[in-house]
Amino acid sequence: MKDEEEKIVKKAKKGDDKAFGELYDTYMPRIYRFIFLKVKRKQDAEDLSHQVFLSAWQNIQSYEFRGFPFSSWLYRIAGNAVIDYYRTWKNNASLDNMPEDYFSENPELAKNVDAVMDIQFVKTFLHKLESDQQNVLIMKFVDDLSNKEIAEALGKKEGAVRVIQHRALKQLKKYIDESRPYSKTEEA
Amino acid sequence: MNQDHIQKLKKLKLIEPDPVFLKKSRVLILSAKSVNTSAFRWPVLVWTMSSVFAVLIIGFIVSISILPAKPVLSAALDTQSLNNEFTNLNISIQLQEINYDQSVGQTINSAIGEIKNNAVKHLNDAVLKNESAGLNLEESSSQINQLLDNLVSN
Repeated sequence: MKDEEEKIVKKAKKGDDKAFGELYDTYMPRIYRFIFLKVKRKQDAEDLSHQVFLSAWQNIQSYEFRGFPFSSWLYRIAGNAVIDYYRTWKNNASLDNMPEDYFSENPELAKNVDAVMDIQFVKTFLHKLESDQQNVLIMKFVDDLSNKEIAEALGKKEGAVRVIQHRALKQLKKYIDESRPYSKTEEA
Repeated sequence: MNQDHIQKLKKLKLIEPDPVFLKKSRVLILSAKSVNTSAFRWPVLVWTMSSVFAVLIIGFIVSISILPAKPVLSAALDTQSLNNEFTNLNISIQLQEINYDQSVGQTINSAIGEIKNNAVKHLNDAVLKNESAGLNLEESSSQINQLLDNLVSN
């Protein structure tokens, strides 16, 4: 799998747009999802993920294969794009203002009301976590990256990633439990 | 308990980009030229600039070692121009000498002719006495005194 991807990346580095198209098809949904969970609006997620792939295509010559999936590099670009987004976008709109049209535009998802509610619910609490904690949880449990890949994408050591993951889950649990004042009573 | 939250997180996998956006974005990105395929790359530019610089330095060194040195003062000390100047100077000096010799010769000739014609009258004592007797020295001296007074008063 890695060898196959390495060949595709080499072709893309030589300017083969079809090869880069394959990389786009493979990784765009993941990168979009990562950014969507980090920013406020669907439109921003689309703009940023487009910019990430445009930047990757224009700078692919600087990419060096180091045994990690190409996605590690893309996640790094995406992470920087999100940081820039929050630097420039001063309007700290509440997640409550998240446009509802996202789900109405996604008919398959809109059918599953429970799933939509869960997504909104989790995203709300995810945003309360620190940026690194958000990154680790999304990469680990949504995008199924290994700790090694997460460490490469975030520029951290694997041990640090494990610690961040542990703290992030603990914090997420705390926020969710606090949002359900009667949950403890019911459990009792 | 964590498993429950992890399951909730895994539900986020359902999030997918809009197919219309995907198609449009893909076309736009792939139609943009990859910067790396162009010839303008930093390593190429640096290599080219250093090559040009090296060639310029080598050319400068070669020109210094091969071509004869010609300092600025040498233009004034050029032997040919100096020879020309010197030759012209000689000619002009010689011409001046010739002119002087000619004028001296004429003067001498005229003096000798005058002496012959007058039979050296002007050296005769009697003639000199007659001439001095006829001179009005007092008048001329008073005129001279007056001119001197004017000069002093001015």
